[in-house]
Amino acid sequence: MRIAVASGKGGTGKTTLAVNLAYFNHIDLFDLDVEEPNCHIFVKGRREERTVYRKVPKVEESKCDYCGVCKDVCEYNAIVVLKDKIYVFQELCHSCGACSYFCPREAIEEVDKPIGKVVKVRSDINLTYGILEVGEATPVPLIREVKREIGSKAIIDCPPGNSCPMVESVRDSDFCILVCEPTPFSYHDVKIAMDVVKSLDVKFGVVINKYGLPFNIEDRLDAPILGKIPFKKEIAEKYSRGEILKGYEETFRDIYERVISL
Amino acid sequence: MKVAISTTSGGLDDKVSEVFGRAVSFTIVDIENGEVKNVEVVRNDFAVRGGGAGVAVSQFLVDKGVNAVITGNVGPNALAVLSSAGVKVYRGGGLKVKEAIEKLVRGELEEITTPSQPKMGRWRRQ
Repeated sequence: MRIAVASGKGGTGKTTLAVNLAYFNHIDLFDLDVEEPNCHIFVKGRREERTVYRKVPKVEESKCDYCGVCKDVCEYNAIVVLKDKIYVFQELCHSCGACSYFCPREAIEEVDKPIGKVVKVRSDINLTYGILEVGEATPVPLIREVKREIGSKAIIDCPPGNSCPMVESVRDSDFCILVCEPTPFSYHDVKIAMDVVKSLDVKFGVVINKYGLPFNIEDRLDAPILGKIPFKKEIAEKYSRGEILKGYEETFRDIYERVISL
Repeated sequence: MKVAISTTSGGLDDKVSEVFGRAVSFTIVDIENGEVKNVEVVRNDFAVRGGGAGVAVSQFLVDKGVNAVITGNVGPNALAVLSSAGVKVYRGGGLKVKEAIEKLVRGELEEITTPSQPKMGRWRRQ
């Protein structure tokens, strides 16, 4: 079973849950928050990495007659053609290939641009994560690359929010755990996240982290509650030291049991 | 000389917008012997694009044969395109369009040679 961990609001405890769920149930872990991966802080071991590329146009200026077809077919304004100069803005390019396809003089070649890395860490559990190059506009192509490594059993740490990166991370999983905290902000965002996973047709349940804060979220949510992680200084301290939450094994085993029984 | 001014509702009585790529409209005027001859207001359809508004607007203005731009701030990509097309960019954010043109004619506007932060106008179109 592939279990995605998402939340809507950031900082509610996706990584806390994903890492400990994977560790105490011996499941491979995948960190798809490629803009800011942090599972690797908790899983240390031997690393291997490979670079991921995407295609961007390269203009052979000696063949170009500045006709402007490429900039007209570019949906993203990534090419500017002046009377005797042509500019490619790689960060605006979405790698669709239209410019190269339509260029009447075959002056545009598609070349590889590095967009990030896929890293594998071997430890007590296996962790695979992506790390995006600074300046890349969209993490989705790299998220797709990391997803190719996911087998039939996995815990998947997803990016925060409810937009493209989160959707891409959640969509092919069998179950989605939404982590929330007892705050109005988290309540607001987790409702949106619930709507997203419903429309993706992914089964879901909720884990309440920082349980004990004075806002009643559990009676407000129309979703199965899979478990609660208490609001404790000890947990925050362990997390900030990059440690697994030893002593809370049962909490994370119970959550897993409830997910597979649903 | 053809001058493009970033504006909101557009026209000589509007104010020069602080943003370039995300400006709502451009007021394009022809200046002959220091006199305004023609006034054209074009809506900026690129303003609502996800990214690359400044680049697209620059291409549009260069294709229109504009020689100078008056705006508040301009980003690095747009400034690169405009400068290499030989279009001069002047700072006039907040001024009345009419006033900005008069200052330009008198040579009193500061030329912009360093870009603002990228994506500055993205969330504050005006």
